[in-house]
Amino acid sequence: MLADWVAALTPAVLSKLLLLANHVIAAEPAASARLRPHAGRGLRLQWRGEAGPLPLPPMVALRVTPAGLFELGEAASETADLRVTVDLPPPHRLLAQWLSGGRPPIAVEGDAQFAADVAWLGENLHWDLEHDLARLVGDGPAHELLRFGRGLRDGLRRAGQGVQDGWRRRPGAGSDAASR
Amino acid sequence: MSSTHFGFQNVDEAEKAGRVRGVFDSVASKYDVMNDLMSMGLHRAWKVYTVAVANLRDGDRVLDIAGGTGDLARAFARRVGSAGAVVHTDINEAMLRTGRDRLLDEGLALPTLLCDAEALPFADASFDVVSVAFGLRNMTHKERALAEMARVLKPGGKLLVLEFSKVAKPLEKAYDWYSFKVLPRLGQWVAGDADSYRYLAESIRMHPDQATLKAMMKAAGFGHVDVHDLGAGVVALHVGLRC
Repeated sequence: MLADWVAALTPAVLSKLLLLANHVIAAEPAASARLRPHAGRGLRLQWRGEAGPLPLPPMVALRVTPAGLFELGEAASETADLRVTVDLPPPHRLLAQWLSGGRPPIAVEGDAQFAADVAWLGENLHWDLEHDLARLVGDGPAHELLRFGRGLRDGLRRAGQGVQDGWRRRPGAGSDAASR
Repeated sequence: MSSTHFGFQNVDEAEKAGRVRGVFDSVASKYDVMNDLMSMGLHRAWKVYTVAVANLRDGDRVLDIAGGTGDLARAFARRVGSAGAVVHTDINEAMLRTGRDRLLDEGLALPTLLCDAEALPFADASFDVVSVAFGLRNMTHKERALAEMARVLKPGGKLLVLEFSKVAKPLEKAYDWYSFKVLPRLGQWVAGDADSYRYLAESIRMHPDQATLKAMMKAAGFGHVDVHDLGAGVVALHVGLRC
């Protein structure tokens, strides 16, 4: 049942994430300028990890377009010039990782220049949510909404860190670790 | 002489533009109130989203095709400032007059032009953004119109096509019931014209789905096309970049 829902919703979620990625790339002219020379090349995004209560996301085939943006390719037939593998921990550890400000490990294989440019995107691109919100609701409300959001995120991160510290310091935690 | 579709009917190509004109002549005065009723106000949110995606800057030149009662032209004009320009066009005089009067009432005197999207009277590379909202569906030669839109855009320019599209499969039955049972009655009740709203429902079914329209835009010269499904695919915004 859950797998059916995940299978039905995956294409819609993927297309929304791709729109967001393209929006962020298009907002930074240096980013699309880096991708433009790779027009027509394929990138395969795949996932590795333990299947928890949710199945791992499907492999995603992307292709660079002449505009220096991405579009979905045909996963089965796409030849990948670059393969990006993300190590996904189970959802509870992924959440803990996010709350502590970490990212899952990523392995990149394939064309060196393409890899360098994709890595540059990963390190340098950030979604300017405040700018986008301001276009819809105006500068003042956008700033206040973001300030509230950042406060909530920092509070969650501190709470997550506290829970993790408490879990590590619980009685018997040392002997659990020693017995593994 | 080749034929084309007018809703579910096959008609002579030369006849389609005249029949579409008849539909819009009939509904022009009630167009806005019917849009609000039919979409339960959602068309306003779809247009706000379209304007946000346009991401206009001060000084941009914008061409609004099938601009009708001027919803997009009005929003665009506020964003391009006095250094920019928004050209408000439509092939239907009744719709264009309604839109121009409304814009003037709101203090906006935009260049307004009666023109056919399949033969745009503008030089190559004249505009930063071209938009067509709920208009492409009614054009006889969509490929020719898209090629014209690509021609008048500057390199890197953006085409926004907001149009009814293919609804998500689980909603198909309910959407069909609404389109073929409710819409014509609503049209009869408010605009005194059931046939025009029956045509609306039929023309939506005959319009290319998201993937087909994306392929048509790429063939017309748009190097990149993003598809934004809105309302579970009831409407889709196709954004093409000329490159």
